[in-house]
Amino acid sequence: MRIKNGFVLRDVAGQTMVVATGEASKSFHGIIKLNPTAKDVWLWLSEGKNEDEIAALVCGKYDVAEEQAKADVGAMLRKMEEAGFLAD
Amino acid sequence: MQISDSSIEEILQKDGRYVCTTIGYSMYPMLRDRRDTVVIRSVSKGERLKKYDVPLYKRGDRYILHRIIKVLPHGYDIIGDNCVSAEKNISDEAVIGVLEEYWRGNRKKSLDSLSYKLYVRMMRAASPFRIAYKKLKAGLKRLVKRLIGRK
Repeated sequence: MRIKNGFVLRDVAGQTMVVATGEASKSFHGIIKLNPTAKDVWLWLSEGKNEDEIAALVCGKYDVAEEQAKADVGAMLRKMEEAGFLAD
Repeated sequence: MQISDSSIEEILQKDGRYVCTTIGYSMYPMLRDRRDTVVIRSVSKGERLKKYDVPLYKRGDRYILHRIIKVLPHGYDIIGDNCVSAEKNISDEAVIGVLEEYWRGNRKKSLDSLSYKLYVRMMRAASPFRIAYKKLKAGLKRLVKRLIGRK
């Protein structure tokens, strides 16, 4: 699972946003806003980490229970998948 | 994660800023088609922009991001860096935002940088020559087409 080519992350005035460029911009015209945790998840996914690895990193960084981290990361990845941001 | 598909006006009004990818070649070489991203900030009511600012304005249903070349009492003359003809007297009301910064690929570009200021001055200075060249090229193309069409 990886983020499709063309989605770029931009930090603007304290807010992290993702916009589509290149081919991706032909099908996605919106803006994705990320909170700090979501930004980390996005970056770790960009680095090639899988769902379990990301959940473990969230656990370590944000001091949340493992089950909660797994549920939150899973929910975000499903949302990204549904929106068409992910490729196999 | 929040996915927003609100209109540009709604986002500018709510957040004060809008980030997007530019489409087209009218601001080339500064902005490349679907490759570079821009940050637009909203303009406050009554705010006047300066010469060489790059406003986002609406023409019909289309959003245009071009450069101001002349400030008028109630509007602006505006032209794309890669365009041949200016759009005259774009009213203040049509302007919904102004370029604040941009990314060329993954490199963030400041409008206050020396390189950007130099680019703007050079583009404007070279503009009459570029326009003349483009018009000549288009004229020659038409002439060749007409000559070939006669055969």
